[in-house]
Amino acid sequence: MSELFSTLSLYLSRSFVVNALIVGVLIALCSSLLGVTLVLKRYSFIGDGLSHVAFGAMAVAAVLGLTNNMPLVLTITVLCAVLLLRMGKNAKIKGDAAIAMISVGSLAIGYLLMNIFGTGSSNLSGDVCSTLFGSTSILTLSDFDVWMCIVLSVIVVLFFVLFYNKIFSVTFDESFARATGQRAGLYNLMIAIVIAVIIVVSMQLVGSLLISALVIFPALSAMRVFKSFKSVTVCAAIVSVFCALIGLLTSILAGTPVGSTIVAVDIVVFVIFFIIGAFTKGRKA
Amino acid sequence: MSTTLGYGSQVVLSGLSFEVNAGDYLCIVGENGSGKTTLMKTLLGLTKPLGGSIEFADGVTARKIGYLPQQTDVQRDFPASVQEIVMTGCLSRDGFRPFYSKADKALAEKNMERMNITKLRKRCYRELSGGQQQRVLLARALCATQKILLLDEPVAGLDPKVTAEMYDLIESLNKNDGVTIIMISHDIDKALQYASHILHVGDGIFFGKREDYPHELKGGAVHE
Amino acid sequence: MITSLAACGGNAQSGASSSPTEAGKETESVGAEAEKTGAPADGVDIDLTAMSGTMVYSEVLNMQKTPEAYEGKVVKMSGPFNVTDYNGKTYFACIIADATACCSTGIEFDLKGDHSYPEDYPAPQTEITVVGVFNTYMEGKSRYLQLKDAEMIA
Repeated sequence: MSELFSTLSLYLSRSFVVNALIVGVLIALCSSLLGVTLVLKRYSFIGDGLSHVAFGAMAVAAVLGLTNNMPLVLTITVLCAVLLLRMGKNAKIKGDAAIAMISVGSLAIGYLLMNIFGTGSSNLSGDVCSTLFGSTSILTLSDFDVWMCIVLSVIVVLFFVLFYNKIFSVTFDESFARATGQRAGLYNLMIAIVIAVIIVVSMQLVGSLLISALVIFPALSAMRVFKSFKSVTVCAAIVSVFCALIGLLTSILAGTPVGSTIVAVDIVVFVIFFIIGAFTKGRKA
Repeated sequence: MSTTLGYGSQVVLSGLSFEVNAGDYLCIVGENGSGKTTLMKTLLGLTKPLGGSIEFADGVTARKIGYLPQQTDVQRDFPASVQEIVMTGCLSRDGFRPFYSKADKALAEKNMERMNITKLRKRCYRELSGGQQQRVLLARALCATQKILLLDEPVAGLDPKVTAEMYDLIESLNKNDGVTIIMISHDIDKALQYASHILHVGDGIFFGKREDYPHELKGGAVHE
Repeated sequence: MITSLAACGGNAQSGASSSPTEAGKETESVGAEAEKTGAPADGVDIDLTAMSGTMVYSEVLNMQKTPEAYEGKVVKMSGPFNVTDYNGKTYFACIIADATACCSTGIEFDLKGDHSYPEDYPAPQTEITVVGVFNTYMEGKSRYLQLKDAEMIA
């Protein structure tokens, strides 16, 4: 056990590990806050689709030889988020088919571009693998990346706190919100943009294929047990941060890939909450 | 003022013309698919009329209308407390201010009292009965308005005793508090019992006081 | 798609670099745990042999991304021995696989003193442990990483 602690303190002396922990916690916090809304609005697939778009955007950035790809990736992903959410309402192409088209298309074109044009690094598959699964990307952040993540996370949390009531309103009942003169369209737009931001930032932690898990599992866990929107949100945030920390520490100690380890912890926690929820419901009846 | 109502390129109703005055209790009846919900959505500004116009008087704007929509499955299963839901009725007044004011909270309290759900305030919405859920939504609607309430089939799926309670509640809002009521209903008998005016759409359009309601229409309207 | 990605391992020439500036041929990375308080006992700043797979790979990638932070540090690493001939020169490297065994990268090392291949070197793919000083050099237009003044311990 003491060996574990000495290894851990050894690791923690490396600055990239500390960065990873800070950014990882912030990412986990943001994604869980909006995760509750995403799940309740039945937008989980949009989250997944956007993560593939982000992958495509990263491919484009790599081909263009950009060292800092976040601005480009953010822009493209935000635009697609807005597009997808608008299309959901009044599409000639139906909502979920649109998501599928854009999402899988980005994945394919991204990979194709990287193959044809090269990314300047000789290990294409390694880069792709890391981007999709997040095996070590959180541990290799540049200083610019770290600052971007911190700033964006703070913005997301602020947005959530200031607009909390309105987010709840449009999540619970958009018709009512619109009918009574609340600016539902605007709030939906803002939510879409924030979701895009969260996805781009979360890719650093768990890779684009696993983002959905990071976003929805904490929310689903919380909803098994808690009864008010506020308590569900707070619980989801705590669960998410906890799982991210445990997952990250476990992966660096045990040598497992970061993204999958975090998701595995999320799943275990979900099962625990599920059991608790089933048990307490049983007691009530 | 004659309006044509529909959505997309579909005309659902045309040649419709009616007027609602403060304190009225209007029931909109008609068969399924006759355009009642489209009409309500147009009144609320959720859909635009294809032709003609809707006018409101007396300072009634979208922000001052209360609305009780039909529930979706998502909502029935939503993790939220009664209090949280009722408070969202106050948002139309708040603009961009992030937090509810004391006045908002007081209003929500008062409306929960009126609807007799104060003791349910911390309960989870998805655990309530149909009737209780409707009362929560009604309290929410009242937070959004003092003047006019639009209800879309408020007693759908409720058992007879609860249905009667709802109707009494709505009537008291109309008679005692002077709230104008516009309600979509399937139940023509109840409509004739409580409403002051009837609007029948679909198979033959009629608008007028309840006493004038032609009984020939009744035969067609009742069937679901 | 996943299985085809996993097949990228085992080649010293695939420097898994996420920044296009390092055209990693072989990159020598022996991460030194140098930032521990005080100088480590055996003179090694970054000891990759004491770290988990995830940490090792991250350390290596960071070396490729920000080599300046590692210049001059004494690094110790172990992994399969690899020999590559490129442009008439022979390069020796120690390979590291990443946590998912999806990809691998390697660090070139240059033994202290005079040695000739193949007599003084082990057979390719033998597991070796190397200690050396982290260093970067330019060859043509590219920057390469290596461990210089290296010693093979095992």
